Amino acid sequence: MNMDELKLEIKKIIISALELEDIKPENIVDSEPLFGAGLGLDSIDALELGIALKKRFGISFSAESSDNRKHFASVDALAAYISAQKNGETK
Amino acid sequence: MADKEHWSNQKEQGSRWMRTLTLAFIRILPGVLVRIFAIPIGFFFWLVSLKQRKAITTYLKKVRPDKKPYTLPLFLAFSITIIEKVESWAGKIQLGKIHFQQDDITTIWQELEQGKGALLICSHLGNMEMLRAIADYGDIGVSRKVPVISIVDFEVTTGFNQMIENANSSSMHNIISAGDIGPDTILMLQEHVAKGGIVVIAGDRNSEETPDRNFEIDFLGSPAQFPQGPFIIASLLDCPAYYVFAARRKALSVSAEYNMHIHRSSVEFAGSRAEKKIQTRRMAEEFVRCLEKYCNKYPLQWYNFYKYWEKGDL
Repeated sequence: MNMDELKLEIKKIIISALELEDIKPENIVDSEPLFGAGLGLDSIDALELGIALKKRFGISFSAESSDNRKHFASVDALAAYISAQKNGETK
Repeated sequence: MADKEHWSNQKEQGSRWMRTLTLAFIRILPGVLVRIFAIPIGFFFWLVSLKQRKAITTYLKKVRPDKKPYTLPLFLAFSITIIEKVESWAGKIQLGKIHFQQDDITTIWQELEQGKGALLICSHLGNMEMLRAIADYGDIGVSRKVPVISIVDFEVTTGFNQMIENANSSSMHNIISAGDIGPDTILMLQEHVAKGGIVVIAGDRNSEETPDRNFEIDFLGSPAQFPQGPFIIASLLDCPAYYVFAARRKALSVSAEYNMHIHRSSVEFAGSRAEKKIQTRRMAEEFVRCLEKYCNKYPLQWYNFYKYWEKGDL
């Protein structure tokens, strides 16, 4: 899966996990924040999204790290994190 | 719309020096004397808190319609509870003073003993610090040390947490601010309960900024708003959920005798997303019925000092 496909997949998951029926993948800007401004997701969306991303991509986080949050900042950040984790596993 | 009376907008009562003074009293003085000091402190809080008094009057009229809604006793009981919260963190409350009821306490101990995790949904009725007796004191119920993560409204209680930290520097572990929840949080909580940990969250503080994240549920006779968050967390964590209440046997007395009530949720999460939504609401309703029952049993230990019911209900 290349980066663009991965980003599309992430957007599809965001839409289906959070039931954003009136939003299409192309409406989500890769670099815009998902939470607060931008897409405007809240903390309950965050819970559901965390589960959905784990189910689909098997991503994990170190409990100690304070960097976790920045991986969820935007579609760009998520795609970078997911592909980095996948590459890490196959090495 | 931002409501100035909402709890998240209320500044904590009392200044820093008052907290420091309170802590010094608790540490140095014998328990009986400390509780006598709670009376002027509670009286002062009652005197200066007009809005809170109004909110409590509304509550008292609902919970005991047959009695005059005198608010002062509740404020004094609150003052004692604050002292006992600090005492419990400082390790001063004895497990012997907590009376477990014949309910689901053995079930949770068995489950914890087997290494299972649990979600505890508590409330601002009584003293939720006492819940730590289920896990922290270990010796009676569970032989292993059970790690606890509490999800708290940190911004509201910064001052109080500071005071607790001063009392016992090792007690500040695993507290997450509700305002700081992100997608990684739920994965971390999942991992925590999978390892046999406990997650604690209050089920009675609604979200004012996002009203569509509340459930409207009848509570003491009229509709009130309850948060969806704690029950959604329950639906996402793969562990049993319990409703837990710890309240003084007598709201106003020098002896700190507590009753602990614990009920296992009967709601199982399964099926489609639509079904899970219905189950989530059912769980919130089940919790509210429990909360209502214990409000009736311990009417003077309700410590939500803000307008709880719909507008125009005061």
